[in-house]
Amino acid sequence: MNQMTENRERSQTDAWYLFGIRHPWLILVTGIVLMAALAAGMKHIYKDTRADAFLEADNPALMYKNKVREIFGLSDPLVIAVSDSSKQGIYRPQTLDLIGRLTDQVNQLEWVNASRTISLPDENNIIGSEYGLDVSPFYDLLKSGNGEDIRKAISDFPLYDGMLVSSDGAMSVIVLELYDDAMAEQAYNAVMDITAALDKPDGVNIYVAGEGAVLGFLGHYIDQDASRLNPLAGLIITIMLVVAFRRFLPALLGNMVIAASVLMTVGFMAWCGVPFYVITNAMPVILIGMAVADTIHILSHYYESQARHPQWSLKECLEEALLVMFRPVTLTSLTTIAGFIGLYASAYMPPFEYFGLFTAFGVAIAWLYSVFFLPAMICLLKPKVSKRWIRLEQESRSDAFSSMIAAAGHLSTRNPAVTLAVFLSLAVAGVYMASQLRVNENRINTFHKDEPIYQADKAINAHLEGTNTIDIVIETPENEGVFEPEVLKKMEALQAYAESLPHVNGSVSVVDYLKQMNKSLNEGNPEYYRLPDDKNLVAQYFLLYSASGDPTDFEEEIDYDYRLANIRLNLDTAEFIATRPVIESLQTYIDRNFNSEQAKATLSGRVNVNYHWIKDIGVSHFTGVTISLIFVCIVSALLFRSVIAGLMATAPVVCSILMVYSAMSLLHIDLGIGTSMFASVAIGLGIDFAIHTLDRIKALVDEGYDDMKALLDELYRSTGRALLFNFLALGFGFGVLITSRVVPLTHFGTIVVLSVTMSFVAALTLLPAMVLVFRPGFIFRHASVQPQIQVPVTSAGSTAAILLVPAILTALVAGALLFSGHAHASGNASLNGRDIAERINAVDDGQYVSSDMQMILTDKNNKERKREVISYRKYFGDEKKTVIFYKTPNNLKGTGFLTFDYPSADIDDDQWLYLPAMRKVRRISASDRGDYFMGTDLTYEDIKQNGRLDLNDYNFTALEQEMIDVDGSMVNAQVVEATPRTDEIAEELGYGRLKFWVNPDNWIIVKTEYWDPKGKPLKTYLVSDIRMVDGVWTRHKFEVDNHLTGHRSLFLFSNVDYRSPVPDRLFTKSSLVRGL
Amino acid sequence: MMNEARNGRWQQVAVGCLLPLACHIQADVWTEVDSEIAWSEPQQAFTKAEVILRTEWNGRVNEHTDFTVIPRLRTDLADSLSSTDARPDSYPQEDIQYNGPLAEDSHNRLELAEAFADFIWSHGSVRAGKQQVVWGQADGLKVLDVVNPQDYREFNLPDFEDSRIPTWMMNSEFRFESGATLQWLLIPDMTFNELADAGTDFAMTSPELAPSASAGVDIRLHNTERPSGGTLETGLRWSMFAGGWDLTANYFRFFQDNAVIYRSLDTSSVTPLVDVRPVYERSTLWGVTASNAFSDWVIRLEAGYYTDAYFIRDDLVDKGIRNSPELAYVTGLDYQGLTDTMISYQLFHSHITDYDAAVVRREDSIRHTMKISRNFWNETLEVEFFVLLNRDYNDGQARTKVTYQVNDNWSVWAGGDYFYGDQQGPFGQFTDASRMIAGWHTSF
Repeated sequence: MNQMTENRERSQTDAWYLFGIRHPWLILVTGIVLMAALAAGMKHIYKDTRADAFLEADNPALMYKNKVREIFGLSDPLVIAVSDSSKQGIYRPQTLDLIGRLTDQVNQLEWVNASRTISLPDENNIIGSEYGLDVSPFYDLLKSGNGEDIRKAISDFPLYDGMLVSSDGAMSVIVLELYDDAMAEQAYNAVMDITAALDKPDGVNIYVAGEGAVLGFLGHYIDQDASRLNPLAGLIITIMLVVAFRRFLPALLGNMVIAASVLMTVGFMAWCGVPFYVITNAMPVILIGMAVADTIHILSHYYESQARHPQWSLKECLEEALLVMFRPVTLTSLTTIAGFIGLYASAYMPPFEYFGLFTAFGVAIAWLYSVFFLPAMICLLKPKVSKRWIRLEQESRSDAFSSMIAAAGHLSTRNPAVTLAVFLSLAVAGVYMASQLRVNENRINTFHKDEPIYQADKAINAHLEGTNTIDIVIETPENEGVFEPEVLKKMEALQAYAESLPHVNGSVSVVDYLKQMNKSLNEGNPEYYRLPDDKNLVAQYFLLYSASGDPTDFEEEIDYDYRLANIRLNLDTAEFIATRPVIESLQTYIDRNFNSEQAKATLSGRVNVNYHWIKDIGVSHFTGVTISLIFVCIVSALLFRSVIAGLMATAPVVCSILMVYSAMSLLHIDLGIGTSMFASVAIGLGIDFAIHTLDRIKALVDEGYDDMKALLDELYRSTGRALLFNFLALGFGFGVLITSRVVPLTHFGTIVVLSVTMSFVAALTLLPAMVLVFRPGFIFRHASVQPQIQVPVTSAGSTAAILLVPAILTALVAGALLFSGHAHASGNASLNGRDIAERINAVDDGQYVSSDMQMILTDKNNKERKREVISYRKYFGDEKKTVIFYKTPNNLKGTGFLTFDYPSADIDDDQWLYLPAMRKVRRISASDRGDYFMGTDLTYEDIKQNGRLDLNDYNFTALEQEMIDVDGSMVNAQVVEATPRTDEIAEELGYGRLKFWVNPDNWIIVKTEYWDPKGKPLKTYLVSDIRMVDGVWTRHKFEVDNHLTGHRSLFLFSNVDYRSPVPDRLFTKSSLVRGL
Repeated sequence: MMNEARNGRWQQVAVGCLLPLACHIQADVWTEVDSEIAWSEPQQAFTKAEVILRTEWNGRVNEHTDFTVIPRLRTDLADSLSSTDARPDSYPQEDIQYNGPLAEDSHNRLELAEAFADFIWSHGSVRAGKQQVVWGQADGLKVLDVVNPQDYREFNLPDFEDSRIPTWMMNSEFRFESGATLQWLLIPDMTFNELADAGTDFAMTSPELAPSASAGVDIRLHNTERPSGGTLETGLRWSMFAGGWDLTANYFRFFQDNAVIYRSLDTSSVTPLVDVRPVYERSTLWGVTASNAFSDWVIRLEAGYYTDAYFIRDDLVDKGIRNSPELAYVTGLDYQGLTDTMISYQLFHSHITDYDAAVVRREDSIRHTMKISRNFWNETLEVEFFVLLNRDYNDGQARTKVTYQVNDNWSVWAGGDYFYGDQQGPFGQFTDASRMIAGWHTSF
């Protein structure tokens, strides 16, 4: 065998890739000069941590957002919140003084556009006076009322109540607009300095958040993280190399290759004018892992040759190492490059494109320096193998690492068919789990939960309307077009609709100011908090305002010509899964209601821009993975000149990716910016293990190993050991990311470590098993002796085995398509069943409501009974309280029903019934969800859910859309089938299955068919007369037909009122007794 | 005295009429008629043929003020439920406190069942007038439900709403930010339980409730001693909802609704005489209630401590009365796990803390009740079954009733009330009054 190797050596001693050994000094100088030249570009690198960077500059959503900024001066605000836990809240004079001082100081910052600052001291109160409108700062009231007058003024100004100051008075905000987002970091630091220096009264806290703050802090945050992580990764790699080779010199050499790869790549990026994005932060760590792998393999073989052939010169050993390792190192580099080029080819977001492209470049540099520069350095420095290594080699013994690998390897090859079955099962499970992945992203989650900015974001969004914004620009064809009452009413309706959507807690537009002016000019009568009916009156209001206030006060809401207006919505979250339905619902509403020539509406703002770049992450990810796998497969096939080789090399990577999907699903890690990159990295890194393993097996067969056991022994002892260190280097290198303070990087590190581990394990277990089972021709065709393999493979097993790899790949692609379809569907109209149910539940039902309800109950003999009730419902935080009073018939008159409905599914509702005959309030059990309510055909659960569905009760499946008649017009309804999750739930609810039709225009269920637990048709629920009342879609009529009993219940609603406040006292047992 | 009584009645009429007349805005009037007949198998006779006409007048003066007036006319053609000389001493005879029937004869009785005005504001309310106030959690067993007196002329058979005697009072309630409420009752109306006259079906004969006369000994019955004028009853109730529990704490300084029958032997005359002197005595009640729902179960608790309770002795020591504190509680458990069905069990336990062997009642009195009701046909048909077991005498009652809702305005029912057990017992004493009933109800 050794003779054969020497023959090969002699035949290839003039190979071109030995150039580095032949001319070490030339290579050394050239390498250093080249490195210096490219690395010099690093001083020109600049960071771009903007969320906008994820979209092409010519993306329509981004362009429109910039246009909005030009017209209305609106940017991503930096939000400062002052909270006061004292009884008086922020209306405490000391706190008001603090807010005043803070506003003054931040307004003086050069980056802050002070004229657009929104804060309590800067905003004006609008009240009526004998001369028209009196517009004066809220702080003017401080002199007289010791803070309480300001509280009253704010509570009389609905626009500011909740937006500027929280309704409980505990928090107030200062919203800063910056002149230039590029200066966000400086502005953020300056604001933080100011807040730190302020002398705060007891109980007062100051928070700084908002997209402006995220932008300002993110760059610094990532720098800080990178400056800690990169050296740590380097240190760990160094330790690994020292442990592996028991010499310090290899560690030094390895670091040189790493340095070349990382510095030259980043420098080259800078020379190319490509910025350092948020995700670029992961690139150095990836390159460190890639670069060190090549070094380990070459050095490992070099030392092995020294140990085996003590008589050889160091140069001969080096030549031998390069002769043996050039091919696999080159193969792995090419496949890795192919993987990253795949990412580049499939990405549509600039940061991902550049990430794929430049990481591929970095891998190429690592290959170049490993194959030429490293041998040149070895040639000059002549590192020697450790004596222990020689002793082990001479005694033909393996060290502990080799033994460990061999033991694990033999375990899997003892019964290769079982190994294949295990991996196939894992792959199938992975495909299923991949379909459960969820696309989500929220920039604030980049920060660790104990970061002040994270906590500030949570605190502000909990108290106020929110720090996340959507802008809706209303465009009219001519000047003063916004004054048209129809346009204003449309805007008002749009605002009402928007505020009915989940997470939209408030909105601001010129409509709100006009209503406030109208109210103020009518002696503050709340009934006049409505739009004036006359265009001229609108114009006069603005004139009156300008007589007392600053006319530029409305710059953010309306343009100079009154042709354009902006509605700004405030949301309390930036989670994609939460904002996506909002954006899509708004777009649907706009498409339906703003298509006229009179006014057009366009969505814009931060949340909208984010929606546009996040919505395709899922599709992009799976397309990228598929393309990368195909690239890698093709390159592997070409290199081994065998399609089977390509498929086999890809199999471990496929397994590792599927396992990561499973882990992500199980650990509830969303597919987001950070995590979506993992697959390309996993492919790039994982393929190396497969290529090395396959190439080594092929080489050993070529060398004449005719006994498979001996072949595997040698494989695990040599390549296995090298791969182990390669794996450990990568594992620890990426493991460093787990300690990152940048949360997406922590997730990224976790799943890359998982995928690398799986690739490593699969390469050393699955591949030998596949070789044993399949006996692929590309390995055995040149073998002088057919190996004696004793594996019980039947012909059927062999056929199955041949189909295994394509099957896994097909499964992956199917998984990809499945998810892609899912993700695509999620981004468009056709949603999955649960999505639809979530949207139904997200339909706003107002903070409080009162309504009259008539119930007409008809039995199978058409005998009618009528009941009239008046009902009130109000939310107290997340708790919903409902009270119903019977007005007729006389035998039920005075009956009252009170329910406290708690948000937690674990807590039963509390319910009380007042029967006049008993004269006392009786506590009743709320767990009889399937009992029929007061003789109607709706159950207590139906009444409680009020047109919604408890997501914990059912599994949902979306069916084909169907046209259905709703109030005389045909609607393409979403159809969903819901089945109770368990038989117990089915029994409890009294339903075995539901099928419901949803109007996607308002997400109201318009029809439901019910089946009982035995599968018999039970009842049909049909809704009609759905109208918008006070901005809330409201059912005014629905009918339930019970097919089993022939009984029918018709519910008619009238006097629905979401505006008139409902007093808290109604939701008490006393009010049940006293009645209305 | 009759003139005064008549004046009092006119005052009731005046209040009843003036309330709605003064507030002629948004009035809502509706009337119900109930009719029931009872056939007693032991007596082989109709013991009841009653029609009740009840008109309710609700009105709203303004956003904060409502009123309710309910006159009621009761006619019993069978005429075996009351004697012609109704006991007048359960009703006050002085001042404005008049309460009794506006007019009555052997077959008819006209009364102002309720008349009150509500004044409601954001943190409380006041209900002033003639009204019912119900305390406690128990059904059909009284521990805390003692604010209003009761009409026992049909024992416990009528609905409590109909048999509870409304009294004139001021009922104020204050609501706190926490949701807790404080109820304050001020009751100048000294009206007490109305008992069936001797010789009628439901006259009390159990030795626990009425002292038995010794053969050969004459008795001299004195006028009932009523509380003096200007006396008030006062009640306080703190209610709160915490951790899913409805909790109340109650205090009531009141006069017991049954007169204490003091007996003393007069040996000054030739023939020994027993002086019988009924007196309404004062007591104080301290109580608590709690209720909560756990899945399909609802638990109800009610406990009360009377500082003074009066028990009949079997001798004439201490004027034949033992005065002792009494501790009583009711534990109720309702199960609503079956569709449209409620099963309710209650345990009543009363303990005489300062017991004496001569007391007729047992030291510990225990009763069990069980009620099962179920609705059918979208709540148009209701079937109820109620059974009570008094462990003191192993007597009790069983009641059943089937009610059918013909339409929104008409319902009919039929059923039976059956008493059983030792005739010395408070339930067994009415064994002969067991009956079958049928009735109808309409409203318009």
